[in-house]
Amino acid sequence: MKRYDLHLHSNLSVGKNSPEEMVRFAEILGFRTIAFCEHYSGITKLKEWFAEIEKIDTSIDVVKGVEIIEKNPVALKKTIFKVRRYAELVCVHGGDYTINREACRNRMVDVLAHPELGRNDPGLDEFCVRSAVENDVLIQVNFRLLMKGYGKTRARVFELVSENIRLCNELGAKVIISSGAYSIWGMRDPGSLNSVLKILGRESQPDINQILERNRKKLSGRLITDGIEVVS
Amino acid sequence: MRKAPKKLPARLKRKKRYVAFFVFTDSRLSESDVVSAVHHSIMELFGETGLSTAGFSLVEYQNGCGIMKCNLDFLDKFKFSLAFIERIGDARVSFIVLGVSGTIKSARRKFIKRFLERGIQEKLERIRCPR
Repeated sequence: MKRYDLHLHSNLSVGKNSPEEMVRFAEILGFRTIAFCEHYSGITKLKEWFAEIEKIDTSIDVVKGVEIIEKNPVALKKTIFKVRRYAELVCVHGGDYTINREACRNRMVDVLAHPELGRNDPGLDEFCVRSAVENDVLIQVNFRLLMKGYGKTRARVFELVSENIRLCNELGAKVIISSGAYSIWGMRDPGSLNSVLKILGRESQPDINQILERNRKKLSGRLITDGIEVVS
Repeated sequence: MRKAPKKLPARLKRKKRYVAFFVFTDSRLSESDVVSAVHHSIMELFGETGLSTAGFSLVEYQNGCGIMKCNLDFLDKFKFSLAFIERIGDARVSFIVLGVSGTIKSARRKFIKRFLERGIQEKLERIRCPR
């Protein structure tokens, strides 16, 4: 069982708990890796957040991520290019089809979050999923969005998410589940999150260590491009 | 003449699992609160047929820690249902599954005892709970 949650918000941006409190709670829940993906609002803020996260003394791996919310693919491309030099994990706020498509096509993106958000369709098509496979983009199921609503509304969200998972299973794309929590109340233990993903149609989550290691090497300058690495 | 059916041999019995859990909450919850919340969640997500195949019952519950029983083939759905409980009345809750075991004894030994030994309740008290 993979024990990670790659989408958490703290009070550095829109969340309610401090990063330290979230980390302590994640330790109790039994996570090995968590990522803070705060909503992007400028490079200066990003650096401040990362400095804050670095101060936390913990045994688990805390990833410095960012969630990009953009309205059009051109702006998205520019922002991704800017943040990639600082963030260990780049997550794109999905929902709009053009944004979903651009996120899947872009090699610098690591995670596409909730592609079905606010839509009447799954938000992904064959092209998007094939591109995601090619560019190693993870498709994320957001647990917070599954919790929203009741009855028919929730059933509809389940249907859209299951459809995305089915397509990803068919074409071999990687699917992960994250809590998308804004506070400790939204966080769930890894076993429960894995069960949710299983019920929705995906047996297990992929290993993300390789992606994180590659990103960290790139940030430190050790990895120039895939296949070219500074060894001494 | 027998008045009740004979006890089934082990190989014919339905396999069950014991789920050790901890309820993280901002107020005090009784045993019946927990049972009705789980019942309600299973009913909401899987309906009456789901509830009938769950084989759910609360084995023990004390100071937020407890053990619940469910059928093996319903285990994932059971954990799924627990994950979707966020409120019991006015109280905010989060069910933390500590582990799953085949016997009550090992659930107590492996998960509940270890959980209490790790001093997690003290650690949780230090975390601020926003409304």
